[in-house]
Amino acid sequence: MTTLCRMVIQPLSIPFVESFAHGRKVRRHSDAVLVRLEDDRGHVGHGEGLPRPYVTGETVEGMVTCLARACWPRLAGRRIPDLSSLEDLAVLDDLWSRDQPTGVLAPHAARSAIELAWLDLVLRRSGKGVGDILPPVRHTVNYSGVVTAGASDQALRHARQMRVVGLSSVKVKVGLGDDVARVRAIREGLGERVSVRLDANGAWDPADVLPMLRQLEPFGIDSVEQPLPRGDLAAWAALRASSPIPIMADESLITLQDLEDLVRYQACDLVNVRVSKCGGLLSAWRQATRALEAGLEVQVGCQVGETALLSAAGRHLAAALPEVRFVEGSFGTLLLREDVSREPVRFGHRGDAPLLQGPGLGVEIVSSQCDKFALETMVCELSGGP
Amino acid sequence: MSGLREGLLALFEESTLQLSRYPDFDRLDQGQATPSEAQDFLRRLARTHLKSPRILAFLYAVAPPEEGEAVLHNLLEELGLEEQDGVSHPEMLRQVLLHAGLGDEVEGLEHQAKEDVRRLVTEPLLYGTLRDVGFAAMVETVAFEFMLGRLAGKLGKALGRLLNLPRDGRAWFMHHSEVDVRHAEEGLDNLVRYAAEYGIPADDALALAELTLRENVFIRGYFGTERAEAEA
Repeated sequence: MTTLCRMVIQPLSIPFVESFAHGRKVRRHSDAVLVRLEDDRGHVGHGEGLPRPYVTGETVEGMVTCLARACWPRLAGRRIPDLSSLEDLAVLDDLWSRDQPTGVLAPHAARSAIELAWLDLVLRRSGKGVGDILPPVRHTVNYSGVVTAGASDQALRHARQMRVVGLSSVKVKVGLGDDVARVRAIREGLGERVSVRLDANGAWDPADVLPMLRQLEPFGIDSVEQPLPRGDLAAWAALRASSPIPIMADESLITLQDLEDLVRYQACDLVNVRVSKCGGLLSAWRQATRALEAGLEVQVGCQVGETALLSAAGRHLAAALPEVRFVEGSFGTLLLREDVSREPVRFGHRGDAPLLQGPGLGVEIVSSQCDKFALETMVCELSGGP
Repeated sequence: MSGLREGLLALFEESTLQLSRYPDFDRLDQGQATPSEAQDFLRRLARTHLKSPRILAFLYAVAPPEEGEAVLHNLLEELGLEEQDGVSHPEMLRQVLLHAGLGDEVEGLEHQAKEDVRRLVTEPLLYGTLRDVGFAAMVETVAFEFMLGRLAGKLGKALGRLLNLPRDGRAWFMHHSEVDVRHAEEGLDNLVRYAAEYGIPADDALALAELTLRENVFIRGYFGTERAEAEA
């Protein structure tokens, strides 16, 4: 057993190839926060979280402070036991049982970064990969594309690009006022065979949602994600009962308790489970398997701008779940101008991507790339804080 | 193939215009860049183009047989084999680096170019056929020819002033300014014929080209990726 002796925190700012817009935000760069953990024998592990103020309440600054001021004092010098199953990551649960920072619903991006780095380190130390403790049940993972918010002609251009890449499913960001025209253009660009689903990011006016869904239904929509804001599960349940399109919960699902509430209210048909949003691989696995047990379908989602680390974690999750309806992520350099891993993790033709077989999370992080895009580098040593 | 040539031309023009308006390019062109910035530019330019013979060899392999001669001509020219006493383009690039005081970095830049090839080869293919992969590669190659035909002379002059490059040290730029307008014109025709010969619908061909050029490949290659500023 080794001892944790150092943590490096790096909030990054990697430019996007092109801006990414949805109903809540236009992003032009990734604001991933990377964590590097080191033990006293020189073993290293990397993790990542992407804070989203409108999802978990976390900001980049708040996440960095949480990691350095709240987590590190409890982690420093901690003995690092081996892992025989994913559930063994529960050894980190005590880090998060204390008071939450004001305004933070759940510090899940911070939790994800710590947990993934811990997992990566422990597995690398023993020469194992995630597949050894979370065995895959499929040989490849098939990813969806995303058409961001924007004008109809831009959306049509994106749709045609996705068609030549051969993607079999595409998510369309909606909630910007011209939704019917955009979805019509995208459906025309993609053709009839491609599965199309929508994501409103809670931006629709509740009074307009049902009429909107009825207008969009003829375009062959497989699901609509977060049509209403988080909260008011009775409204969600009423919408689901009347909706011509299956309803997916995303921002409404942060914690396991959220999931139990969604199930109890019969508020949705599908859930979007994302590793950073849910607080790490273990929490995401628990939420996804509980959702399946409750008869819901599962989408393994991603954070816009995630690097190879979160993409790798998402791929392991998607590969291991007994059932998964849609998978998002692994955009790699399709979205980021550069990634932080040596080997690319992005999907290929038709959205297919192989399993990651290497030690730890299965990606080799290039330190110079992290340094190049780091807004700051905060080092926490065993002797004290940063 | 109606409209494909025009669509491709518009993409090449737009990408070239973006480069010419890029602030760092403007600083080079106006002689405002420091010698160190000019050297950085040269390093990236060399890394971008040192792998060109390999790309052209790939294009020769996938070109429709009737179009292969034109690509072969470009490949032989790139390798300096088209005429007696010809100089290969990688050798011209080495000469640029030597005259710019970067002679001891040639080996490292060649290694980086090989790593770029490694990444190209190992990255999952976005397209399902060699037909589409070849078309995308040809689009990027012709885009560079289009841009160099218009801007290589300007770049050579600017770098010559900034780094005191003698005529021999600017041969790569002068050569591209002389031949690439013609290469790009031929390249545009070749792209249209490639799509027709291999049955790529015009809409799909244009989508492939847009996907290939959606990030400005010139700015990415010549100026690299800087960290983005944090948003407020």
